[in-house]
Amino acid sequence: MILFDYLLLTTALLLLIVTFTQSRFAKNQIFTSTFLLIIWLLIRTFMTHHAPFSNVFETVVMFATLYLLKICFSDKSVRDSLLLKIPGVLLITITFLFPESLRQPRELPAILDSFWFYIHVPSYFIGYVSLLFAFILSIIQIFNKNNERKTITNELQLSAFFMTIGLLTGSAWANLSWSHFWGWDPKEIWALITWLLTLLTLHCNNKKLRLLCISIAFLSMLFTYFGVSFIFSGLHSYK
Amino acid sequence: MKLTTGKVIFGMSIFSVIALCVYYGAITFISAGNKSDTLRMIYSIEHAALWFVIAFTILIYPFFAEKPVQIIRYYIIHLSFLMMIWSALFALLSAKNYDIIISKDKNTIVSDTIQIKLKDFAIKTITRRKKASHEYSVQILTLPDTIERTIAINKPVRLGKIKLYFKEWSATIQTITYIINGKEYLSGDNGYLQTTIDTDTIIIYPEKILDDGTIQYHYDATSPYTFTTSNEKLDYTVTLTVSITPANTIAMIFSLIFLIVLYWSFWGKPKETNR
Repeated sequence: MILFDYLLLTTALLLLIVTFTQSRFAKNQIFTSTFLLIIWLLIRTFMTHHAPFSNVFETVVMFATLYLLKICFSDKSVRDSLLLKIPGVLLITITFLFPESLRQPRELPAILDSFWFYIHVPSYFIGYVSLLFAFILSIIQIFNKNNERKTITNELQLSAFFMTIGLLTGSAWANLSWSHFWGWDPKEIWALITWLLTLLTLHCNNKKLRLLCISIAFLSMLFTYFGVSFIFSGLHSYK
Repeated sequence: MKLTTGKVIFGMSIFSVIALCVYYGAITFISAGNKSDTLRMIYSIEHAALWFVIAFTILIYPFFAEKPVQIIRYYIIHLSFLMMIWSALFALLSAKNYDIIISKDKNTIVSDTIQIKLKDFAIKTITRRKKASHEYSVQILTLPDTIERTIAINKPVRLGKIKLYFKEWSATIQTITYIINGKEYLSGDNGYLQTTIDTDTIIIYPEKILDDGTIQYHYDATSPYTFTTSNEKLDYTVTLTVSITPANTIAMIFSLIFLIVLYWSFWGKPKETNR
């Protein structure tokens, strides 16, 4: 387990780093890297007998996979951008920082064993990945003067839509598990903040103001994802 | 840049949303997850005022906007958003939750017409790769219809307008038979045993009931003795949350409407909007 874990993630990371070079070998290695991460997720699913997003370690790998998949399916001009690949490298690198206790496959806690688990978590991750994508694109837009406005708007719309699905399915699930659909738990509050800020970004027409809004929404998303779980105790502690 | 009424209203709306986000963020740090502090700040005038400003500026904006706004489209999107928020808030305020404790063979009143009785409580331990997780299931008998129902995690039981959720369990120990050196000793209340074998004084008592329902014992003796137990009699009591949520359906309907409207506004026709 440990061998496959490190081997696949290290290879995926190295191949992704190689794409920063201009060599012939580097061409299209992003696809191989993404493929290896997908294999990692499949093996993890096979070994744990549940979807590979039950703790923060698994979700970071899933986050990286979805992000790289998004790059793979983008236009060639977007795909070749080096800045876009940096979050991918960072995300895979983060996975090596998790302690062994989190890396170990584990049984799905009874509370997570629900139909909603398979909709709520992926919805949020699609939303978060799109927000990250929009954030990087808006930085590229500032420096390159390229007109990526339409792509950024599309990503923000995708993000807002999937975050809404995440928020609503989360409420439905909470209503089933905790007897209330909204409990003002720190994670819920920060998810609400991120959602409101993402909706707000859709109202900014000015390029720089939009980057500012997206940056704030992105920071809020990072805090919701990583910060809340480690700072506050609450109903959503599945570290 | 010329400041117009439309820009001021738009700016106020944006500013209020940011202020609301700051307020929510502050709540999590000030209350640090403390439920009562959080609720006190949520049900406050400041919180209501922020939402009022957002709602008011959203509603009047089209009349002052610099560029022409597609009024129907604008109101469909923004009203569905506000209706979702208001209906969710209404559902939260009208919900009623309270806890009841049930124990075996005792009738407990849930509402004017319904009583329940604990039939059985089971803990299922699932161990895989040295990691264990527990699943709890509560079997109840509802009266007067005398139907047996099972409550589990993520599986509440609905009785008309009432939903019953498993919250927590506890157990008390009555008596335990300890077998020390092949001889049986019956404990006193709560499983406590103090006895003398030869010249040694032995004290054994249950220290803790673990999550899987097994008992962890405290053992104290001048010489080491091995002991086993039999007839560990546990009396379980289960806490259930009774939930009455009359407006949840309304909130759900408005949420779905907002989701559909969001989809329509992003990917439906016409694509260009004057935001």
